[in-house]
This record gives sequence, C-alpha cells and structure tokens, in this order.
Amino acid sequence: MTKKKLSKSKTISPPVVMKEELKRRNSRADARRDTLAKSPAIARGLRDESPISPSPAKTPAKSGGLRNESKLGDERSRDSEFTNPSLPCRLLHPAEFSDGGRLNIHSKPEYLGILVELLEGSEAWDEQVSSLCKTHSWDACKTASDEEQT
Amino acid sequence: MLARQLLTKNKHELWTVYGGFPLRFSLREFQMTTGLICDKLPSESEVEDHHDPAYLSVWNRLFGAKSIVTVMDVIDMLREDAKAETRKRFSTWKKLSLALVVLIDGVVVCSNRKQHRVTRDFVEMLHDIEFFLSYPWGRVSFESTMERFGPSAGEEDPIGELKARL
Repeated sequence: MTKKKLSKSKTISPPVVMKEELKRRNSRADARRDTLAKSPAIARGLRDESPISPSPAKTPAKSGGLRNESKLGDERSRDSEFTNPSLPCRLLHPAEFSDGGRLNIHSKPEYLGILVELLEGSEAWDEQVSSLCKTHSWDACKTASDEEQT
Repeated sequence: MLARQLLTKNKHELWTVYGGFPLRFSLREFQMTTGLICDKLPSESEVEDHHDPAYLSVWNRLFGAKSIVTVMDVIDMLREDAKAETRKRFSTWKKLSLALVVLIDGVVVCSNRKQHRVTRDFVEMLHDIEFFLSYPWGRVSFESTMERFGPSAGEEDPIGELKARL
C-alpha cells in the first residue's frame, strides 16, 4: 500500500475501542427490545416474557463457545454459560424444559406400510410408482436397462 | 430443538439456539430433509383449470354423500376392496386416488385442528392426477408443520399455549 493510501484509510476509519463499541451495541439492542416490549400486540402475547425479536443474525457465541462442555455440570449452568446477548430471547428457560417429552406428531408414517400391503402388485400401485418416478426422477426408479444405457 | 427455540417475528422460520449459536429451520432445510416439491403454490384459478365441471365432483365420486371422511375410513374402503370379488373392485383411478388421499392427509399434510380428516380441496385436485402429483406438497406440508412448531395466531395467549403444547 502506498503512503497516500495509508493516510486516506486513517482518515476514513478512526480507531475503535472494542470495549466501548460493545457497550454501545448492547445498549442499542436493549433500547430496541424495550420499544418492542411496549408494542401492545407483543406485550399481550408475551406478558412477562422478553419481546419477540426479528430473525437472528448468524452471530457467534461469546468467548467460551468452545469450552469443554463436560466440565460445565448441569444443563442450566451450561446454558447460562453460553448465553449470547445479541440473540432474541428464548421461548423456554432451560429450567422450564419438561422432563417427559411430548410428541405433537399427527403424521402417521405407518399408513405407508398399510398402503404397500393393500396395493402392491396392483395396477394402481404400478401407476403410482411410475408417476412418482417421473415426477422426482429418483435413482431407485432406474431399471437395470437404464443403468446399462448410462 | 423445539424447547430451545427463540422468539422471533418470522412465521416461516424456526430459530433454535445450541451452544450459543442460532440454528435456522426454514423451507430450504425442510426441502433438503424431505425431498418434497416446495415450489411456489399455484393460484386458485390455476388449480381450478385442472377441474372439469362436466364431471361430478371428485369427492362425490369417491365418497358419495358423506360430508366428513377420515383417513381411517379411506383405509377401510381400500381394505374392503382388497377382499371384494374381482368384478366388484374399484377402478384403478379410484384406488390410486384413495391411496393418494391417505398419503397426503395422513402422512404429508397433517393439520392441528382437523386431525386425520380428509381435505375436500385436496380431493378435488385428484381430477388430474398428474397435476396432483406435481403439486408442491412440500410447501403445504411445511406450512402446516410450522403452525405446530410456533405460536398459534388465533390464541389469546399464544406463547403460553405454545409452552403448554411443548
């Protein structure tokens, strides 16, 4: 880089003190959260919860993100260790995680097995498989002759 | 992952945090996981172009005068058909249509509210089976999945309801 360019870059970007910069950013984020919390729609939904934030950016964790997790004890202490202040708030605090996992699954993949039992070998089955192959061009649909051709 | 979710304004994205890092679950991730077609949904008029008013509605042809049909009812129809005499069996079109109804309403698109009920709009699309098969079911499935993952819009206390659901 020439001397001229060096002097130019100095004038454009003055030195930044990182500690002050981080403080400034955090206070700005807090102010934004406060304004969101005052919005009636959000306040109704969240009550005493923290406000809904826009889509989280891909922000890295605070220093300590690569610490050895096995040393950190229970889930709660681990989560507080990894709290990232630039992220929106969480739905549940780690202490609120339920012990008995509840599955809200309404899809029943077992129906697939029933359909195979009922339709395999029929004309409807052949038609369904061939049309699906046409739509998705799955590798599984390739016949031996197709493979020979390629 | 659901318990670790973050509260955001995005209806079409689920953000969770793990080890301090945010992870996104969106249509892109859903498509990569399921392999279903997730293209843009055709407009209502485009869908109607594939109906033929000269025919009886597909619903009538499949289920007659019944107004509510569940996926289990459709499976029972197919079971009875498998036991029936050859000459009394359903046509290939009817059998294929019933199988597709089970696939879509029982496995791919399952709503929170009308559990395992057959959807009339989907049934009507069976008039043109090729169109039905090329329909972006992945997007429909994603939308109904996200309804269950996030807070419900109609609830008085959506966050409380979601917590209870989890």
